[in-house]
Amino acid sequence: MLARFALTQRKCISRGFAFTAIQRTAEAAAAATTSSTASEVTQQAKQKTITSSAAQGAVLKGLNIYKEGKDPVALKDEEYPGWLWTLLDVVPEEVKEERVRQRLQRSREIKEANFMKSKKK
Amino acid sequence: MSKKGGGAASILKLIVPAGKAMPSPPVGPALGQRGVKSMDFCKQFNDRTKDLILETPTPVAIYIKPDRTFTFAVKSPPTSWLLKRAAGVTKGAAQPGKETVGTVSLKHIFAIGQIKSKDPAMSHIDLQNICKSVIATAKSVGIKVVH
Repeated sequence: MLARFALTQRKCISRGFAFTAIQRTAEAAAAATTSSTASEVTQQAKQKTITSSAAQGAVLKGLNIYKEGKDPVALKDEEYPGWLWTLLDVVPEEVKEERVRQRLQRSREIKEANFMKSKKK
Repeated sequence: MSKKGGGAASILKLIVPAGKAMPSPPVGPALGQRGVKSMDFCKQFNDRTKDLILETPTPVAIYIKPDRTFTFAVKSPPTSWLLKRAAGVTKGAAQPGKETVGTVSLKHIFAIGQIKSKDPAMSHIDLQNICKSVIATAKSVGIKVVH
């Protein structure tokens, strides 16, 4: 129950169907069970040993678009949010398949609901 | 690009170099067709983009009302353009996915994400998800993202 409450508090576009929140909890639960402690450990190990190719103080050239500005400078690796280093991680196949399955089911349910609402004879 | 003629409002989407709106090709005919004076638009546009480096490609959406008045919204530069600049290349890959033309660090992605998050259209999206989109765009341009 707590997990579902936390998810509805997230800034997401509500489609008005309660099952989208349910689907997200289901996916989170599936991901939690499929990603074993082994992969968690390797992820944590990765976090400890990640060194960015752009060291602290490196100028990120070309990313300044303002006349009065300068190119942003790379900060220390620790000063970036943790999720940044997970962006290049490979998503396990089970999670991808689960998402596809849910997407198909969701669209089927939406189509059915729309059909029921429509007044076409 | 909506091309409804007659009495309907229309939306015109263009990419215009910042501070240099005027030339006939991109702006003139497109606006002229809808009865808007291009000079008016150019003056307002150049004024609004005066803080940007000259000639930065700037996507703009122009909303033209039936009475030929208009408003416009200026957005952040195209993600692919920002990525190419960050990677130091001028052209994207001819065969993205098969060839790589440049590399970019996750810190670059973060900085680009920050630029994109200032767009009104992105105001409700997490920075994390914006960065994921940027990484996907990098893939489509043939730029490799490393840690």
